[in-house]
Amino acid sequence: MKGKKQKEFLIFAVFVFPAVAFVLFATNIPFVMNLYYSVFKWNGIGKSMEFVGLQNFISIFTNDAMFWKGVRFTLKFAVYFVVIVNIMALGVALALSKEKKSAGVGRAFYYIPYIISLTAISLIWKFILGPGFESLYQITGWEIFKWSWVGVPKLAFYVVVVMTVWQNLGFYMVNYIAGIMAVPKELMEAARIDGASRFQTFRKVTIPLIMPAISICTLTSLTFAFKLFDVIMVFTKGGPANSTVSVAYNIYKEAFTNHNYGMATAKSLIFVVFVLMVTVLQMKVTKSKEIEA
Amino acid sequence: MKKKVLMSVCAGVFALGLLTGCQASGDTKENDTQTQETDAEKAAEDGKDDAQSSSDGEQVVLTVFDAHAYGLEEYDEMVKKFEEEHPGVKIEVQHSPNDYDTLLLARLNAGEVPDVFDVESGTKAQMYYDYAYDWSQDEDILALFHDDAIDTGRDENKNVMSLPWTYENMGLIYNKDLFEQAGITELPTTMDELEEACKKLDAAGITAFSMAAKENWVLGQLASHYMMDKSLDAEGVVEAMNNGELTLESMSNFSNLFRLLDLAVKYGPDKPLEIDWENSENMLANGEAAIIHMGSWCQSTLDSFNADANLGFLPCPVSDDPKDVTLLSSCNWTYIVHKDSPNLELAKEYLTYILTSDMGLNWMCDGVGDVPGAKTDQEVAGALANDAAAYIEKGETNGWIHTRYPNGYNDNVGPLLQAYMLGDMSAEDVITEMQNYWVVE
Repeated sequence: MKGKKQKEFLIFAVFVFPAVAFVLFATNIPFVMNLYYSVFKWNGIGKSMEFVGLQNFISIFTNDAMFWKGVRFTLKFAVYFVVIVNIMALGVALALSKEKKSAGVGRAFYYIPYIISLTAISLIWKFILGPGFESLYQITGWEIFKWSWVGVPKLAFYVVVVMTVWQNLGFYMVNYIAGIMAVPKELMEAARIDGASRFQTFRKVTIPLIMPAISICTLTSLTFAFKLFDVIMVFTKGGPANSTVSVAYNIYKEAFTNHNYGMATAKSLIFVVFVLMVTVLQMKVTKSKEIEA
Repeated sequence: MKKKVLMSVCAGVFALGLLTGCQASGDTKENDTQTQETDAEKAAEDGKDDAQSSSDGEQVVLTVFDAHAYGLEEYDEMVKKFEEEHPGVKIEVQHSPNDYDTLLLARLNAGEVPDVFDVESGTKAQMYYDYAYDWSQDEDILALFHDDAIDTGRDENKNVMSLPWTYENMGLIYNKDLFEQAGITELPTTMDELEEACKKLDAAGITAFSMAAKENWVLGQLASHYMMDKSLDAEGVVEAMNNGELTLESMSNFSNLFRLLDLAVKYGPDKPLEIDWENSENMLANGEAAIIHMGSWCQSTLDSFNADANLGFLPCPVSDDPKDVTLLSSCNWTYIVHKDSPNLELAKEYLTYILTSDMGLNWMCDGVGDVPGAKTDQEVAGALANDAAAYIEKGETNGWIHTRYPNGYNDNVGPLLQAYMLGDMSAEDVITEMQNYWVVE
């Protein structure tokens, strides 16, 4: 009996080892090095590092308004993004989950932005918000097209939300479509025969059954929102007046522009802990609602 | 059971294969550097002139990192010529005009330090001097450069740790044709005259300013004009700021920065904070706006937007005294030779070649269109550089303050000045915050 268990463990170990090795080298070891750097004052270039203990962490909590501004922006963005992208993706998925040819075309259209490179997307939006809106203003005369969308802090926030939702909608839509397709037809039929309205079948049958899709989509959208970086880096550069600086962008700037490498690693550690807590909480909530057909 | 054993053996072999794979590549790398080292020793022993002798052996590869991409055609020719003169030597150049700092940092920390690389002089360069070869003893080479150019490459102990590229000049740039259209015959030299000029331009239906206010760095550079104190020059001002003798509040001209920003908003485009550097230069070159803040580095982009544009420097009015106008001039790119390079002698020779040889001077004067830090009689192609040369000769220019800012200062003050332009912050608050960000370690 004991020998068998040992053997099983050995087989398990042999199969898992390659994957563990990769994760170790790509993620965990850098993470530990991060811990190490976070207690030093280091500019990222020079050969000398100065040990400062927890000083980096203390000054983040006491004397770093910019970081907390970034945290506020990121949280606000996360709420907007997760809610909007999931509701819209679910809606689109419902409309396009029928097995028709037109649905296939529709899916392709929604998915295209997701596979375009971000640089191209930035150019597209720069054009839309610039010359595009200008000529729309000349045609319609509506004030909304004359506003400085990327030049005013409040508006720039919505531009970032709209851009990211527009770009990522396709990805979440595909997830939801897969979930909806997997709902057994007979359950729907049974509900209809029992006299449930369309909305009732959706609420009482479809939603509970696609809960796994919902929990995975909210999880990925949440982590995406927290890690928001590329759009900021390429499109707004954190401006105007630092209004769109996300936490990830702030950490990048701290490391590579301000050359406070230790400080940046300390910030990223704080952020990792925070993201972990939020995602665990989120998983608990959505998992508890999952049921099996 | 047998199957299981077989599979686990397979998996084991696979896993080992992965590890040995890593090992093998690591080994060859080590071999590579070893051969390079032996080559270097050989080259060092043989001296510069006998570099040909390495041709029968393996190729020597010199890695070069260039943080900009100006005058590429001339640069390539220069590299080709150097390779011809040094058989067996291969120059590998990486040009990185975007985000060079991040890339260079990554390469340094990965242990792949380029043999020759350039960084911005001042605060940035100081951080890289841990890797730099000390040129102080190579007096015959230093004699090829202007003294003030050499000074931009000195460390705290006044050792020459890097060699200068070209002089860059920075100030307001104006469109001469538009000024003529608006009937402005004399260049404004005081804040009042500047406002007068804006009014005249406005009356003629011309947008006076297209400041690239979206870019933090442009605003940070602009601010430095209003910190300048001609009796101290750039180094003195920064020193006084660092030891607390001078504050932004106590600078006599600093509040005029906000007067200029007011003008830039009032007589600027409808969406001032959406103007990036490209829009800014494009509008100036094509006569859509009369004044921007930039430097002679943008000559080639301006030419590409409109080669016939009639442009010139407008020394920045900073006060009521015409003598205070500022045009800031400095060698802002500086080249470092890696002191632990396996091909140190060759790297030194290459750097001297691109900075002082005829090919190199041609690259800077003709390809880039700027005045080299090395002494030369060759004519310079760029109109802006020639324009600035007149001021330099009269000794009316000053050094650069913004390259001596504390790390990341531009990125901190840019957004503050944007907030002022939006009306979200008062000038007093911005000055206080800007002073708070001036932290020296």
